Amino acid sequence: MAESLITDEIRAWIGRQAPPWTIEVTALDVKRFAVATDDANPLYTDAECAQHSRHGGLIAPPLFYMAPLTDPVPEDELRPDGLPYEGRFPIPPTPLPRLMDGGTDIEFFVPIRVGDTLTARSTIVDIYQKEGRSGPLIFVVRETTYTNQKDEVVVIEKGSSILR
Amino acid sequence: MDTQLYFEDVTEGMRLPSLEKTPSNTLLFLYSSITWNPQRIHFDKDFTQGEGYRDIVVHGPLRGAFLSQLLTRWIGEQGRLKKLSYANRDIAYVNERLVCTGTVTKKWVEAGAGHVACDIWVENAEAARLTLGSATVLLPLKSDPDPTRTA
Repeated sequence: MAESLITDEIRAWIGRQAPPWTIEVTALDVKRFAVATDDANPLYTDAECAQHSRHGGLIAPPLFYMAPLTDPVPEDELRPDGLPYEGRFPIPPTPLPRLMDGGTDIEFFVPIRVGDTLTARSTIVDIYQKEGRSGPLIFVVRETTYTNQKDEVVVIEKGSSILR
Repeated sequence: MDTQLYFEDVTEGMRLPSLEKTPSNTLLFLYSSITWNPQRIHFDKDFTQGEGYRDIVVHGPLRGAFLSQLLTRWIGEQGRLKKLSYANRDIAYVNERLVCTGTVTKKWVEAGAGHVACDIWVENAEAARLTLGSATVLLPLKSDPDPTRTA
């Protein structure tokens, strides 16, 4: 096993929380998301049809909660690749320069409904190291819980970022 | 609406009805817009090729959305998507024909609801699996007069 790159300072990031953010689930944004994902399910856009479904009204596609992925910041606060310097999900500084998506595990509890206000709370739950083919990899795992205005848990997402 | 799929209709090893997508530059633009994603590899070809990619890159979470659609279409209005996991293993490029599909790995009844586990993936025209995933869905039972149990 190679030496650990995970210093006490990096380890201290476990438990760190991102500032919570909210998502207003409007009929327009749901329609835009459905169109942008090429999803013709009428439960997302046809109020009449949705009214007569078991949901009793318009719902959103399961991954709609990803819509406000990036916090809008002025252009001069974007890096040359277009991403904000500070994303929603803070990543500890490590000696490994490249960031990759390490996969997403999602559990769905109640549907997202048009008119909902969702609150997202994200915490870094684990940081660990593995040896990859081209050298060490650091995995940063965050868990984000989305609740609605009735304090019902809507979605729990576990996402990994890989630094290499 | 399609005919409802029931738990009894599903067998282990069965193939899910495939969903094909060929995401265009326009679709990627719309997805960048609704997710407020200013990352240039999704709209700026010159920049993207300068980064060493062949062409504009399809967003990872858009492939996740396609997989969720594969499932919601299959399970119908009375079905419920309970769990979805996916990891993008390789790049998908704009205008590439993507096939989302999967197989049923296990089925069981728990708390009166039919549960079905699947392996799912996104493959390109060369049948390379660009995204790998798994899912659990709930389906109504023909024998159960109460369809709200999957609610």
